[in-house]
Amino acid sequence: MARLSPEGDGGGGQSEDEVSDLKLVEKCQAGDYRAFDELVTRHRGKVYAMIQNMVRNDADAWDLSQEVFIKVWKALPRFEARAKFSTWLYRIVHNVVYDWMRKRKLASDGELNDETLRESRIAAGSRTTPGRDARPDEALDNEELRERIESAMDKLSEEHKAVILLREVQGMDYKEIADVLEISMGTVMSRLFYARKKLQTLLSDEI
Amino acid sequence: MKSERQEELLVRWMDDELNEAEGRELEELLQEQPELRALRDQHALVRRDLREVYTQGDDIPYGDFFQSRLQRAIAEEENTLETPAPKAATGWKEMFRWWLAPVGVGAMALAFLAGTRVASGPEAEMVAAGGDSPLLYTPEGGITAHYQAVDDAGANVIFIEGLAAFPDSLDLMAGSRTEDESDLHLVRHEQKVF
Repeated sequence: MARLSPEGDGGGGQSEDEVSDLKLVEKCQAGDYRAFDELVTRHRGKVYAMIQNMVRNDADAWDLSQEVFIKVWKALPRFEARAKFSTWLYRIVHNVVYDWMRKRKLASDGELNDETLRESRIAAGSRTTPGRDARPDEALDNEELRERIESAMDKLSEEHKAVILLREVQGMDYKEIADVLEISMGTVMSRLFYARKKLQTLLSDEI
Repeated sequence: MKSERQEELLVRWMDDELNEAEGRELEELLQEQPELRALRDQHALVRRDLREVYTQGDDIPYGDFFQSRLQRAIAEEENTLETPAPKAATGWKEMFRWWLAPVGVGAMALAFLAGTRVASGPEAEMVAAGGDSPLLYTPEGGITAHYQAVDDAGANVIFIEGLAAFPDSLDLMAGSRTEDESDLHLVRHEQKVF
């Protein structure tokens, strides 16, 4: 099965994957469930990674990925090919995760503090990657790096954290980030600039 | 130079995405503010670390189970909500047709088996229910049943929990009643033809 590859500039032509996505979407809209199954198989890894990076918990990320694709299924009849399917999908991911975070914050009724978050993240730290077992000294280095980066990322605002993850980790182009977050290109550039600067400052403070 | 323009130039410079003209524009800026030069190298290190720590897109754990559970969740969702199904619902139902037959045959076999063991009574009645997906019906309390599609095997597995073992005295091929009727457990399957 083809996997989603990093896409181009997002401005002009469509990548092969995107054309293929749209064909699958058309088939879904014509009543072909197998096409939906293939769309899910193709995008589930990236969707899961995006969610996992935001919620930092494997089980929650898995469940939220299910929720995302259920929403996709329901909304597919209304999808119009004016947008890239992947962008539309990631926007749903973003909305689902933010709804979940909001509800979780409300449910915690102020009991959610940094310590609770940190503990849950440590528990979820048994990441599905890397594929090989690191040597003890490497593992310690990795753990220290993870803690250092996550601690700095925790101190960013949600808006700054989102642009950093979408750009630096997911490798999205500026236009796609703007579409996913439903903000202007100018706002994307500004947020990226200040988020990067802030992150550099936070990390240099920790050394 | 406006601050928005400066920010954009610096961001694109860090990402190595400046064209020649923008490069010249940036050089002017860096001459005015040489301290900005450090931003790019530092950012390259931060980006490397971020990619080390965060997941970029490996496949989801238990991918096959993810797909089958998703199918089930969507089917349940469609049954729960009485809103019109999406256009693709027809295809979804089509997908189910292929396994209705084996599940139905299995249910019929169990029903037949049960029929060899007891006289008809209220507990053995089929419960009629609406809905678009098959329903597994267990008439005795404490017994639950659910099914799971296993795509790789091209089969569906029915899980029955709380069911006592069939006695050795039961002759499955004879089709006659035996003495120990207390071991009877009936599982019936109801389906609605789409």
